Amino acid sequence: MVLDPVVMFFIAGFTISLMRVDFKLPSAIYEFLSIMLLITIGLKGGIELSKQHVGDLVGDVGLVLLMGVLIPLIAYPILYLVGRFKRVDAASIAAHYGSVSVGTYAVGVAFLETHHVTYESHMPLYLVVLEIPAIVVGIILAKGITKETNWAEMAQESFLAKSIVLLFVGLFIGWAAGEKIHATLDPFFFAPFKGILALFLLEMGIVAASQVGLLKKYGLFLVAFGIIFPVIAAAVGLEFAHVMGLSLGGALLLMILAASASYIAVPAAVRIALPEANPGLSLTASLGITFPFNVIVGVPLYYKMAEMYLGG
Amino acid sequence: MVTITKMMMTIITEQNLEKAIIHDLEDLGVKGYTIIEAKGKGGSGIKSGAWMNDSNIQIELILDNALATKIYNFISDTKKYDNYSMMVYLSEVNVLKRHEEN
Repeated sequence: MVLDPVVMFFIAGFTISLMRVDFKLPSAIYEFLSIMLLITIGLKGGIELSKQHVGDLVGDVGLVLLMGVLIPLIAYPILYLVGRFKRVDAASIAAHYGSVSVGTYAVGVAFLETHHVTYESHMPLYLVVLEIPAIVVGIILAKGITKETNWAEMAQESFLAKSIVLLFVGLFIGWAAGEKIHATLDPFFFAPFKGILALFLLEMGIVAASQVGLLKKYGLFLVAFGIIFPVIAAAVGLEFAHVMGLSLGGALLLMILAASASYIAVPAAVRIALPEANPGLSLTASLGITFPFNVIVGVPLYYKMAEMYLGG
Repeated sequence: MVTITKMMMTIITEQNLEKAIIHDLEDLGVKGYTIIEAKGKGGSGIKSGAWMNDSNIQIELILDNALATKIYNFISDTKKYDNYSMMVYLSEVNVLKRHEEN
């Protein structure tokens, strides 16, 4: 199987970082690229939403929320009982894996475009929906429901996180403006999508490689978990996609949402909510192991799984 | 040259903590501060500044003695920040007096 060029950019970034070449994108550029990705993904979903009754999606949104609660609940006992992590660390890692990575989702979108496979374009809505429940489940797993947790502050941190707000902005403008947005915004947002993603992945490769040195410190179990758990979660996502009656392309994206782990929103939220958790553990797993695995191996693997199960 | 002697408190800590610590400082009576994004290396590893979860901030406060003591006591007593990397130091500075009437 030939690698998607955007994935090659990721591998290039990973490699030059391992060779200790002193290169990284200026952080303002990295921020700009992620803003472009979030808004473009939001716009794409919003335009599709404008063509259908949003009310029809309520049931599916409920199912996706359920999936977001279920995945950290599957991860937690594996980490706590098999991995023998401290309770708070197991809960923190579970929260990371229950949430999603926009970068991985974008790679999935690029993969489907390359293979000319269509998908339900309201999928970005689920991207928004899945950011939240895992953080809440993680905190409850770590502490139980206590007064100690400042839920109002938590809600502020998670619902108004930059990534969620930008996705919403895209969704809303896409929904309000509809198809005619293409005429004006195509050259800036949609046409350069893969180029933006390629540069974003170049930087992500560099950042991911910087986590590799920590792998030895955290041991083999974490590496195994970071590779095997996404596949389990993808299978859960596939079953949900089947129940929801998604197309092959939609199923792949839901599997990617299930399999990916957060490395931006959740680390920031968990650092505040669960200060006792070791932030290095969850970040190394999600960014150093699972993100590269999903981008290079996971996406095509999940596609094969979906093809076999749904008889695409 | 007219200067007044004040205390400068410098707090170097994780960027994630910015909102919480500023909230506490304002509760203690701090009226102004300067925040500088920082990177470096120390007891809790390298902070490369490459992205948000890997960045530090340096907060600088110009204080009178009473407020400096109050903040010092708060930071050394609270357990809130036990799990965060944090370095606090004090130094005496001469602040230029810009307007005679002050």
